[in-house]
Amino acid sequence: MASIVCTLGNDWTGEPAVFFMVILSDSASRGDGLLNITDQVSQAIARQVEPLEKWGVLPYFNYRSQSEQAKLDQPTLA
Amino acid sequence: MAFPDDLLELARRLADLHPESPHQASLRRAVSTAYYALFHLLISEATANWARPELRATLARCFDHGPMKAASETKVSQINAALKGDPSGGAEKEVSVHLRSVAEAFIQAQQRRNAADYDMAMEWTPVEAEAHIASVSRAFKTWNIIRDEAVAQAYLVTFLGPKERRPNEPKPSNVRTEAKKKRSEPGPPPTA
Repeated sequence: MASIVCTLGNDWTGEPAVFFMVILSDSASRGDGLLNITDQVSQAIARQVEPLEKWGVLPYFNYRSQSEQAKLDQPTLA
Repeated sequence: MAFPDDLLELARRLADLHPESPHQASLRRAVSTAYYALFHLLISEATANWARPELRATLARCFDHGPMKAASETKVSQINAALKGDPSGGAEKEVSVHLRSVAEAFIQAQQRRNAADYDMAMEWTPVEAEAHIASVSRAFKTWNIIRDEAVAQAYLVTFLGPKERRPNEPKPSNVRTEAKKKRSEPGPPPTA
């Protein structure tokens, strides 16, 4: 895993939520290993941080690869 | 193939429609379609209990996204609390862990579906779509393992929402309201 960006907000029902954007290394985001790594990350956060139990906010997770994130971070030419 | 399986297969094909240069439209439709695959799987499992097959489609219209999310959230909280209080293993625990993973997958998939359909500020990537579809696909497999268990069937019934409360009946508490209460309670006075 490369990094996690965490944002507080509301989910689609208006309930308070915390959104985790998890940036995975390119090797971890390939093929069969993807589900395993995403599971490990979300379970580690949900069970150790306990956002729902301790903060009353539902955790949501999204995953990108490092190269995808780098591409999105590049400024676009108009 | 059943309709939910068809939808899941369609989601996979949509996500892979333009492998060289992924289009936002196909990635978004893939994410949304995968959610609907799980949504319709759970509804079809619930309505399959209705004895008259010709009325199942009508009954299916009674299910809605919001109450299904609320029911899933409650189920995750209940299972977390139960597992915390009983660290022992066993078949019952395994069923609970499976059920929790289905409920969690549903909550996640629903939020992503909403973002895919309505949040135009968000840029979807192939890995995001693939991770989402893999999680829904696993929820299908997990559901098949536990679908005949009493707790799994009880979970389906809760999708129809809580019963109407009588005017003086207290509201049931859940983890979210308890956490809110805890946050708003004044802490102990500072010590010198």
